[in-house]
Amino acid sequence: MAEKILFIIFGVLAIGGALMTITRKNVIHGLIALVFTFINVAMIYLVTQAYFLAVAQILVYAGAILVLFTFVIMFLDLREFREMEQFYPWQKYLVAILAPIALAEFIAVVVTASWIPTQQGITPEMLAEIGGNTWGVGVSLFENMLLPFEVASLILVAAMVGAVIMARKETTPNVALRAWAPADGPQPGQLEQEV
Amino acid sequence: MGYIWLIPALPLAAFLITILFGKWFIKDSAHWLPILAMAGAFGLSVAALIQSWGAEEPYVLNLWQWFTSGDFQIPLALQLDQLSAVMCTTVTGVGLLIFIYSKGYMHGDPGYYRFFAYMSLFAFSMLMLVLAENYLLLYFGWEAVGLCSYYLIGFYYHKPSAAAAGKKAFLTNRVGDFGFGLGVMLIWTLVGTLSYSGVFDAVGAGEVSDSALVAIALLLFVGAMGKSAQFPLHVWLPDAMEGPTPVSALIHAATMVTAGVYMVARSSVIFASARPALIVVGIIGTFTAIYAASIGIAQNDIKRVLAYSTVSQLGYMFMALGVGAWVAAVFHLVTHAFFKALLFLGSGSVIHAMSGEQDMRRMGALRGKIKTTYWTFLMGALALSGIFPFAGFWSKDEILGMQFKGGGYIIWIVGLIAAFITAFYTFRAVFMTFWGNDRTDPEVGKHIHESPKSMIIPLGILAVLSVIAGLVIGLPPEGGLLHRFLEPVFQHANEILGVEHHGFGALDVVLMIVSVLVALSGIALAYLFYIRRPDELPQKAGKKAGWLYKGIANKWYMDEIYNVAIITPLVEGSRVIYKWFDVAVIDGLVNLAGRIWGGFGKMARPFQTGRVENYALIMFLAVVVIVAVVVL
Amino acid sequence: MQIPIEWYLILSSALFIIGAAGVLLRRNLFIILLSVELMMNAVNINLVGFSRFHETLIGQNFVLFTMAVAAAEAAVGLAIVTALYRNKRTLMIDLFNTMKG
Repeated sequence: MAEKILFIIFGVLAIGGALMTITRKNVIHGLIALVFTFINVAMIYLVTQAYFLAVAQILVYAGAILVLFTFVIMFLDLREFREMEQFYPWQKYLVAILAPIALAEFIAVVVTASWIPTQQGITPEMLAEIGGNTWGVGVSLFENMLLPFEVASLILVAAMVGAVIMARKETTPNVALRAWAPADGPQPGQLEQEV
Repeated sequence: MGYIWLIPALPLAAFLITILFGKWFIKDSAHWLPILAMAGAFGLSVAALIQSWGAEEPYVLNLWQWFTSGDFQIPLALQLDQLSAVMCTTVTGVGLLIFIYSKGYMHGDPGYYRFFAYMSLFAFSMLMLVLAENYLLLYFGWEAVGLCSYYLIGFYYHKPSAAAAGKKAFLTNRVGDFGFGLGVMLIWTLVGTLSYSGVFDAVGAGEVSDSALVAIALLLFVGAMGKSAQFPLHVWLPDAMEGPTPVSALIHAATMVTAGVYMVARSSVIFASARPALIVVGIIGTFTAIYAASIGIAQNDIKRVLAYSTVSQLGYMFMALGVGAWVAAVFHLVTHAFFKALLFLGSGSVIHAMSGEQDMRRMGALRGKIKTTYWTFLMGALALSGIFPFAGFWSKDEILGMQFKGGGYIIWIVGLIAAFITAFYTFRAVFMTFWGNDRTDPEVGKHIHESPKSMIIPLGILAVLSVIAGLVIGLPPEGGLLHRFLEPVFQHANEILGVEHHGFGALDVVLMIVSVLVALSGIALAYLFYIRRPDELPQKAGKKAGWLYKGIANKWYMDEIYNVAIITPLVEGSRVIYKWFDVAVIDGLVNLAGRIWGGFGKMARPFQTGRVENYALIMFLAVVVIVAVVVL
Repeated sequence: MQIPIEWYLILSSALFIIGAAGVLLRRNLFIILLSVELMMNAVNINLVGFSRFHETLIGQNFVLFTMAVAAAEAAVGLAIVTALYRNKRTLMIDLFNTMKG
């Protein structure tokens, strides 16, 4: 029973944080609201006995990704945008109508579906049996998911390289990296004429 | 005689190699290959000529099936009989001499290789034409020589007048070719085959009705009119003189323009069975002979004089065909090829010496400066005028004699008048060019020089041929070497026509004397006009003649008549159709089709805002709708 | 007493719709990126809920991969944001309409 009460509390808080996120004018405010939402989601993981994920959620999302966002926001001077209209001019009315309808549909789908509870779900006893949640996730990850795990690391490397390339300031007239744009160096035509 | 396929194949190979490699590799030595190919073809033609002596049936060489479409089967087959052999030998022989001549004449021209390539292609086409075994292959050669003629008339394509002349020749020929094409189709429809032997057997057996035969013969003759420049489709030939002189000599005097004569002679069985058509041929030929000769009087361009004389001489050939004197026509064709090629090459030599000057009013007294050219040109002029014993005399006299003996006195008289005019304008050209006062531009006069050997030698050979050809192959008249040789070809047609064979008698001698006298008086008149009193008589005569002279000088307003009667209505009609039908209806429909879809596009354009969020909204909307429809 | 699976799903749906609405509503590219992160979290909740329901830990492994992808996406997305900002001096995405037809 306590679980259910905790779930409802954290769930409501998460939804509230999410609403704050998308309504704040100031980006930083929205960001902090999102951190709040993520922490609440982590709490829900805890309630669900997904301890490793709860920690990872706080570390990776709230700790790393959103700090990255903060950094970028602070690098770019975004104060001027606060003066502007924050919502999409006419689309917002449509979304205001459509989003509740969509939610109602989703809920209707979930409620009307017949869930056959053949099992009780994971209980603390079961977790203790296999050596705890973290142990179980680790074993599962490195036994069943080793290849996807390595591929994920590749994706991260590729994303890192791409991000560096795109975000770097163009200071050196390096022709090789900007093959699609005319550089200051000698053009092919000029070379032919000189020869 | 399986080698006859080589006769057209050699020039074709020369053409392919020259056109492919001429620009970069062969360049200034482009003449060797075509000359060698022509020499080879000439040798083979002579061999074929000798071998075909006395053969009763034509030799047919089936190369392969060209195409088959139901019953319509056309083999790519060559046929060699005496007529083809004579034509082949003439074409390759004269062609070889002209090729050699061109080496000197075209020397240093930027299009040197192109010239020899097209000349070789022409030789190939012409040989295909004469060696064809069926009407479709004949049609192929027919069109191909027209194409080469177009290329070569417009050889100096950067000159607007040359380009226009090429177009004019092509379009005028189209008219004729259209008739010819219809004739071939009609033959196919009525007879069911296109091979000569099949068609002639069917015609001889009376399978085709007389009226249909007349239609076929007239349609074929329309083609011959176009190709052989007969009135009223002659207008292209004088303009064709825009091409290089060797082209005029080979194509527009010696060979291609005789294709019409060859074709009518080849179809002698059809024409003999269609008497009315034969009469039309004779009338058109006679009229053209005197009509073109009259225009020749007032021309000042040396090549144009010769061009009109060519038209006139072709008229003589058709005049002969009109009374079934097939051999006389072919005889005149051969001798004409010799002396007209000689005259053209001689005029080319004159033009060469005069640094490109073609107007006879700015020539004169050249006979001392370019002796060889003068003497050879004189031989040609005598042959053309029909002076005993030159080649032209025998052939022309035979034609006129056959008219007289056949009872066509009016035609005979017209022919004599035309012969008189011919002698007059030919010697007018000779006197204006080589005799009289020196009217040359002093600047040009300094550079007058005799042409190189490669040009002189062909002139000499042709001059010899112009003198002796008639004696060798045409004596005695109506029974000479050529007659006996060609007898098997025309046997059938002669049987149908029932031509009587006249012996050589006193009448012939009288007729000969008459025609020689007529020719001599023409020369004498020219002498009087242009040597004795050149300053007053021509002008006086021109004034006296009044409208006659005007008509002659303006080529009887033929070009103007064409302009008013055909070209202007066509252009104006096209313009009206263009404005009211093309622009309004067709373009309107096309634009309407475009506008409809453009309108749809415009309707769809607002959806393409370029803003991703709008697209995302549509997607979201779609999810809502799909969930609503599918799941609920 | 277990939490019913429906609760997870409803919470997940609510967060997802809010994220989607954020993407559609806002003009600021930053907020849109944040909304995308929110949508991903909604999916994670879904995965965790089913993981528990099916008595297996595979679903929780999936969440880890989602996090990796989210990190990659955030890095690349932020790089794009910087590049865009440098070139256009704005982040209001309705002003980027060069693809307009």
